[in-house]
Amino acid sequence: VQQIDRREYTIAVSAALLDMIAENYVLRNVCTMLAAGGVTNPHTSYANQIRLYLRLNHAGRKHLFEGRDKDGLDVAAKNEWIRAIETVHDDLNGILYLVRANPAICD
Amino acid sequence: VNDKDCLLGEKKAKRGAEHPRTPNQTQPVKQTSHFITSNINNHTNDIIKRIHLPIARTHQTSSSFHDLKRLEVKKRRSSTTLAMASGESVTDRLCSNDPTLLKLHLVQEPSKYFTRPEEEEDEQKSNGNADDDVNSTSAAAGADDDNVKTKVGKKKMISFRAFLEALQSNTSVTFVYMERRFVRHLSRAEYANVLYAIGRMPNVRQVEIWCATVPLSTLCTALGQSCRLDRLGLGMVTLVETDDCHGLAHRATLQTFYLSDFRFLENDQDDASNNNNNNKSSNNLDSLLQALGTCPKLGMVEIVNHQNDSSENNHTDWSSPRALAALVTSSTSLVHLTLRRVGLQAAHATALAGAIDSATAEQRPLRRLRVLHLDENHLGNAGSIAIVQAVVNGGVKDLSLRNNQIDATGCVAIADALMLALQAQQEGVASSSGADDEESCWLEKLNLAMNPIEDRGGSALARLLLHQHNQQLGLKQLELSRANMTDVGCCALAHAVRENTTLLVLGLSFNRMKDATYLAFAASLKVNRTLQSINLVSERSFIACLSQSSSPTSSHFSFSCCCRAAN
Repeated sequence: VQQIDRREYTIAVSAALLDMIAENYVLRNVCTMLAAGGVTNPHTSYANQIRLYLRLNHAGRKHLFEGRDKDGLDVAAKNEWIRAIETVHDDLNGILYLVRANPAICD
Repeated sequence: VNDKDCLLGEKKAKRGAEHPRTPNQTQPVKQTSHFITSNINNHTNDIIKRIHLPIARTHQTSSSFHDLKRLEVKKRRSSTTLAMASGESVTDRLCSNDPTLLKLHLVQEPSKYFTRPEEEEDEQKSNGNADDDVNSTSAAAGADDDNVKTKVGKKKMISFRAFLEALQSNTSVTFVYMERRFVRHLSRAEYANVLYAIGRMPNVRQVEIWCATVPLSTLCTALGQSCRLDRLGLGMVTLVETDDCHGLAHRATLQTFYLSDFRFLENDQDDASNNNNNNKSSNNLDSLLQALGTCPKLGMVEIVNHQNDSSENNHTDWSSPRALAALVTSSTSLVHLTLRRVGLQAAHATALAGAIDSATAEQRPLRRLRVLHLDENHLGNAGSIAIVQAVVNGGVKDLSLRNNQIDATGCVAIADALMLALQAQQEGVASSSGADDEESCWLEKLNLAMNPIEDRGGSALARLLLHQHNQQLGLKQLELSRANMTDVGCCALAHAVRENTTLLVLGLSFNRMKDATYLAFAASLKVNRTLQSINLVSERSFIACLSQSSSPTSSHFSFSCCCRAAN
């Protein structure tokens, strides 16, 4: 019972942390034990997504996303978006995230 | 590559021959070790480079692989130290003033570097036959390696006096490292002569002595002659003759001093006969600290002990509080002071705090102390509070009081002291802090890890964080791991982080956090836009165990277990 309760709670924690990091563009390092346990851990997918956001933060997500003027046009240059895609080139989710955020980089 | 390694490889080869796994595996081992031993007597880097290739091409057996790894590690350390393993090569290069010889490692027995006076007579007698011996070595290189080694060694040995002259006249060496194996076989007079010779070396900048007995007075007098020495390090040493270190006073070039894992020994006692005699003596480092305080460029002092149980060592009297204070008071260049696990008491802390805070308004701009690490001592609440009150006015930016038995009361007092100083700073009431106008003078890094500050302490620090909105005046790093906090203290910190705009790094690992803490931080960090790194690692299985038993005893026990497991 203890184990089941703990896992349910931890999934809620994982989801909360994921929601937080999706909106936080500054955090670069979050140390938790959520991803421990290998592929059988139900939190692995959360941990992978959190890791992706942290990588994006390293790549300058704050500058890319918050650097928009009043009309919503990007202040960041196109090559900066391309450079961010390069940093997450080994993660399709990361590439998709950036392309969906700014489809104009495909032009 | 030294001869010992070589012989070891040969033994492995023999062992492999006695117990062959497969016929293919034994053959390369023999070849490898034989190849090394046959070439080792040349002692040149070029030869060793050539050795690498054939071994790398064989790469069949674990023995040859380890030989190769050992060679590569030694090579990587330094191309100049590679040949140090053989004393003959060192003396040759010393005498010839080899410009590539930058680091001198004296790590073998003295007989590898020079001959003693009594040995010189024997050598003179056999000198007539030396040339013939040498000529025969090249022909017999593969036949009898031990014999070759001895003959070559005889040929290249120099007298002790010549060795000293070679040391003093050398202009290329900038770093000298001495170790027990070299030092322990020297007589007291020889040891002093070597130290004086090192002190006279014109370009030596760094001197390190490890795992040896060090006569401190002689060392200081000898190195006091050096005109370029900027770094002196002693590690795992037994200190004798500690009463007069004024030879090192006013050294204009000395910038760094570190002392690691030391003990004292009574003068005129043999090291070997006193392995178990750790009784306290009148020895201390007061004289050394006073001398260091007078060095005009001294920027860093580290005195640390890495051993786990300091009670077995005679560290409690290593320095009087007065001498420690004198180091800080007299030095205007000291930037970094680390005194870790050296048994500091509250009295030391009070004296140190007085020294930091004693500067007058005119002296304060001259003070440079920015980093103060007093980890794993016995400062307690009183000593820690005194230190904190001093550093907030003394311009210290990085303060570490890890594992100093600070409890909740002490932490509350520390937080209050910081809060008062912060308010005073913000209102401009406080006097000048001693820092330059251009740079921030507020404490930026605070480490209170491994102190049982509990929830009350955590909440007090949370209140402090709530009041820090000025980017220039606020903690940027706060380390509170293993602080025996539960969700109450951690959630208070989480709510403070929501409003705080200065903190960049927060460490809360191995506290008794449950999911409430994680959820609180998840909510707060949606708002916070400054925190860059947070450590929320917690032993989850520990939490599950804890929830089954709520008695204080079991809680404390589980926490201790958690810490041990983490360690």
